[in-house]
Amino acid sequence: MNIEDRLSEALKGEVGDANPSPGLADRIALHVAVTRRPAIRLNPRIGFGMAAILVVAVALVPIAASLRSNGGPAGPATGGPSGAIGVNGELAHFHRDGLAFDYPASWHASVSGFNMHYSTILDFVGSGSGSATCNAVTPGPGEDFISGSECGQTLDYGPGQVIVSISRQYGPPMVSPIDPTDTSALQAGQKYVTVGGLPAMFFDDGGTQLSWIMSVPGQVGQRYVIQADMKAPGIDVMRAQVQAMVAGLRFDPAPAVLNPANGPRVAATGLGQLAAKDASYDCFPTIPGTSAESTVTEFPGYSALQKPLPVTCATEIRPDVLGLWEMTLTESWTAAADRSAGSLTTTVWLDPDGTPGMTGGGPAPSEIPYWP
Amino acid sequence: MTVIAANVVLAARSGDAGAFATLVHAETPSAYRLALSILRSPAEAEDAVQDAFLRAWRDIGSLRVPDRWPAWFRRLVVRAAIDKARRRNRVREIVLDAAGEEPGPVPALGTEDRLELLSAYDRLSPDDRAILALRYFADLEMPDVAAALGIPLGTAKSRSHRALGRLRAQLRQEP
Repeated sequence: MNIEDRLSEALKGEVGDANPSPGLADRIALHVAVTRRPAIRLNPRIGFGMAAILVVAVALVPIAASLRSNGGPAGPATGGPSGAIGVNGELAHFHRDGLAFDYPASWHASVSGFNMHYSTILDFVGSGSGSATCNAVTPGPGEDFISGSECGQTLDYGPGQVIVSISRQYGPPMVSPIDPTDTSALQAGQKYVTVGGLPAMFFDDGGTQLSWIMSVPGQVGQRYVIQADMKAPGIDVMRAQVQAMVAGLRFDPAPAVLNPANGPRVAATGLGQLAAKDASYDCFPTIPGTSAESTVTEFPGYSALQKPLPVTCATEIRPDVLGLWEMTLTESWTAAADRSAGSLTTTVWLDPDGTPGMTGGGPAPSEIPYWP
Repeated sequence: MTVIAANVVLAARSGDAGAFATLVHAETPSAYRLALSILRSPAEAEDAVQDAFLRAWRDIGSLRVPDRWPAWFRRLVVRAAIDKARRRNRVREIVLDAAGEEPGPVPALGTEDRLELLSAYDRLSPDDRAILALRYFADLEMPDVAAALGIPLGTAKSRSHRALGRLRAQLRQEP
């Protein structure tokens, strides 16, 4: 018997009949069901401490203030690090896809509107250059590729250069609006900041990379991503330029301000559409601020329970800063001989007219009664 | 991997957590065995399977053709297992470059020698174990091995050849 056959025999003898511990699949399924849609990953690296970030932020305040005062291509920007904004302080203006900001006129834009899988590169700006490409992939016999093309972006920047990519990301899987109270959504090195008046996830490696992730106002499940990469020398100046650029960013059009008085109508519309597709939404009252007694056999997004569970279903709705409606649906149950008391919350984000956009899981309950 | 109905994959891709749970239940046993064949640690194999499913939930939108779910998910499992093995960081370097070496004599392996062979296998790098596991445990043809590793077919063939050479070398180094 050759070594290949012996290895095959040995591995199959050891592993062939092995089974995972009981309940592994249930635990994974439960974990997924109650996990918020994850954020876009940006190769985060642990950055410097908060103190360093604050020092940079403080130094940038005058620059940002100057940029904010400029409605478009503007005159000299003064203050902050010498030459921090651009040669002779001249600025170019970016205004596309709902984003507007100024950047040093000495930079140039490399590409715009390049569509990749579930992502559009709106532009590369910087002293370096960037490009995005998609190459067709022809699967050979027996080869499985995940799609007919593979897309990627190439950043070309040398010493003393910076390149900033501005992109718009789409699902699926869709991502929930950025919630600065949800620290579990942050990855290593990220923190919440405010950009253009809205919450954003900020990553700073303390040196050559900065990135911001922002929800797209009025759109469920979409995000803007701005990522800057740079190479020494001149890191401090380039970091200041990029941070000033983002500090002056504004959303145009601005997020819609929704009238809370429309909440009941929107909730009724949204729940009606949800219940038409999924009976697990039937128990929720269409009037926000009220609750109803019911008996359910499954929770939204979960497998069917082993037996019916008496619950109290409650509906709340509120407009959020992105110009969307956030509807909170809570099912709570009391303790009994075979279960502990608990509750489960499901969040649904709705378009301004009440069309459900996406559903997110709330915090995982410690125990779901009658879980299959 | 298990045969999965395309509509289940499509539903999971659209964000249906219930459909994704169906995938989890269907795939967990075979995914666990594949991870275990690479990691040789039940606890780490379970961790790798969970990592693979979480990655799948995050990225299933990139799976454009539902029929390719098995190969796509297999790739995630292999990647998760390799990552976990690398983090374990207990693989020792094998000095011998066995790439161009002709197959040498291999000590005879009886039933009692299975542990010796697996001990040698355990000392291979995670990448070597992954390619050997895909080929000789999962019984995949080389094009499928290449797809699972995300490498060209020719590279897969040469890596497999080198991995076998290093396994032989390990066996000869057994005390």
